[in-house]
Amino acid sequence: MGNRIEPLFVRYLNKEVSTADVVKTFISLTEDLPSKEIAEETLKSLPDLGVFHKDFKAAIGDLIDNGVNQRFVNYVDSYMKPSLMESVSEGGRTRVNEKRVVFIKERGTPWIEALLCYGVILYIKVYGVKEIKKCPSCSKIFTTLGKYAKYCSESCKAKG
Amino acid sequence: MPSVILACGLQKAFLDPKGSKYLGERSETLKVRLKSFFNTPLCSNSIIYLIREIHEQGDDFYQAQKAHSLVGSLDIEIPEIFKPHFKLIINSSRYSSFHQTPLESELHKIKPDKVTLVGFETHTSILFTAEELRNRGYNVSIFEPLVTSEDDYLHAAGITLLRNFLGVTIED
Repeated sequence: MGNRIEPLFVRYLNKEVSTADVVKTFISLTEDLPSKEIAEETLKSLPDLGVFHKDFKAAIGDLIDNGVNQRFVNYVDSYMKPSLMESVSEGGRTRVNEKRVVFIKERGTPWIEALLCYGVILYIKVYGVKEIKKCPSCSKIFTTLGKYAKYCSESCKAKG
Repeated sequence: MPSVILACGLQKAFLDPKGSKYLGERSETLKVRLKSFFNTPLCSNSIIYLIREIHEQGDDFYQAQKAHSLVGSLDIEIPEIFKPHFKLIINSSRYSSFHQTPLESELHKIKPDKVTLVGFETHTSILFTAEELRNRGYNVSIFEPLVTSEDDYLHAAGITLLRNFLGVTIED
């Protein structure tokens, strides 16, 4: 995959980043102070997302196998609607300069899960669902951006 | 450890006269009872989740049934009187509220000592969700006046299965 960095949700699914890393990434990127405050509080007492990781992987598996379907929409909506608010500033007639910002709606919501789901939705919006793939050799989730048709890496491709 | 209440199907499909699954007097009675129930101390000390059914047109799973709770329809709206009580709305596409939903993850975070089920319908969402809860070792209770079905036979059958085969506590 060269030097390209996979989206956060992919790295989370592959356990390359932890829940704390997701929260820290959000803290480093958000410009919204109340959201930053909630995220910093959450970092002090992280929820156990072990079951979520399993469910999320299953939901992405379903997405890869069956495309966007109501089960998947129900799943991401359940997390995103109560937790996040999105503001979109348009960049003219195209989406080239469009700016999307998310805020955490309130404390106690499953906003970390929602943020990861939001990442998937944004990815689908920009690149399409077919670019999210599961490697048949090592079961890793990866995004191709057209570079690989089937496998996540040259070594998996060689193994077949 | 807190208690959790799962309110199944408290949406216009069942509660609004224009809803596809409106049960007439049964719906109206349950609406009044639930309104009072949500103001009891049990509810103020519990975390309440709404389990909302949302189906897509042509979902093979529901072939034998009247289409209801379709995406974008009035059926999936939640009556205003209930909205303030829910911590989270969990959208479900099957009778079991665990099927590809955040419920398992949420319960795992909370680790409740008891899960109480209320709402629609005794022989579908209530029964199949209770089974999944019992499989996972949760104590489950149901207030019989706070659940209902489209007819008495199905309600009674659901209650019998819940009490005698799943070990669910049925309270009056």
